[in-house]
Amino acid sequence: MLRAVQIGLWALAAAAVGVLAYLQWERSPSPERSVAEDVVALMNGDVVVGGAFRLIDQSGRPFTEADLVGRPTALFFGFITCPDICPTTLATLATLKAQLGPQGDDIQVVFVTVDPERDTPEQLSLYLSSFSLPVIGLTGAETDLAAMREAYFAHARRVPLESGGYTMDHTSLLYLLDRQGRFVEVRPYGEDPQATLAALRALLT
Amino acid sequence: MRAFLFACAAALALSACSQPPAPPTMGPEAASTPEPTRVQLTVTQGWTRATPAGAQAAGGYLVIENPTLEADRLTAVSSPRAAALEIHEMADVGGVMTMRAIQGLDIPATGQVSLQPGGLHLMFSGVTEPFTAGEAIPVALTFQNAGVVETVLEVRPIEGGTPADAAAAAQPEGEAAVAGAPGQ
Ligand SMILES: [Cu+2]
Repeated sequence: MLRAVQIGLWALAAAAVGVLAYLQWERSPSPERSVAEDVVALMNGDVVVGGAFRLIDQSGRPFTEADLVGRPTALFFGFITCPDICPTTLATLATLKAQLGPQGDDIQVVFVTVDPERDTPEQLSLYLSSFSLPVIGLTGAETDLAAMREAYFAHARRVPLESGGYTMDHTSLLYLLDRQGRFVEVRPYGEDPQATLAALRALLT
Repeated sequence: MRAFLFACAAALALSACSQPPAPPTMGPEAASTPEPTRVQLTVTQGWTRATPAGAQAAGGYLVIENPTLEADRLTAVSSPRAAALEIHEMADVGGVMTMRAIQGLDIPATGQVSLQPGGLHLMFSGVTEPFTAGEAIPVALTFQNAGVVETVLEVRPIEGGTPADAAAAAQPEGEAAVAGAPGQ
């Protein structure tokens, strides 16, 4: 009974987050502001990042915050139909992990889609197999993904393209979590790779 | 009057200033007179990345050089390897990556414009036949003055071309380990 109430509350909360996210992104005349504020807060470590979430990985298995415990994690948001930063982030992590040697294998890389409509577990599985490093690809219901982004102060927005398709604007930061699954810091996209390498190495100590 | 004199003084270094400003001396017709040979706009250094399995989008990168004394404008792009090809501008605005289609791209006279990762690019969508490393993707660019310029984009591997790889290649083996020591 209590469990049912809990689930109900969660569903309500997720719906609220979804509606809020929608309103913020779609109605606000300058949506970049709250996004920018979140990024500053993340960079300064002014916010408590993380929390409960419930998604599924590329093999369809559930993946929750509990799965972030045990190994250090490098997590970022992206989508498959992303021509540049998503493959570049994965390729960069592959290189940096190789530079860390066997110890680097301890770091789990998590790719959270912002485009569940196209990025099904099957598509994620296919896509991630093209990279030389193991990556956990997460997807789920849009409300669950929005709730997860909310917990990580991340943003995503669907933008129509002239060709009839759409693209996704999204937070490009790399989130680093320690072995307890606790947020450590974010690294900006495109920073000096040596700085990212040092940050990854610090996670391993 | 004072302002005119001042303008004259400033312009003196470039040309005589005995008459009130003669407007079209630097116009396009006059400027094109010293053109010695038939120079023309070129498109070079085209490349793209191999598409990961299932990915139907790709970014195309190249350099447009316009040695002529007339500005030009890229107005349309196409490729037989995509359902749609658009000119895009990407920007990382405060930790959020945004991408937009743009209608055209001005190419300044005697200037160049680079399409490169993280910025301007050609956006392939609806790529049903994957791009594999080593092949060449044909692209046609239509310019207002130069007309249609055809080129190919060399397909590079998915991994191995990032700034991290360049840094790793530049750094001797043992040094990387030492550099990270203060991280503890
Ligand atoms: Cu694009």
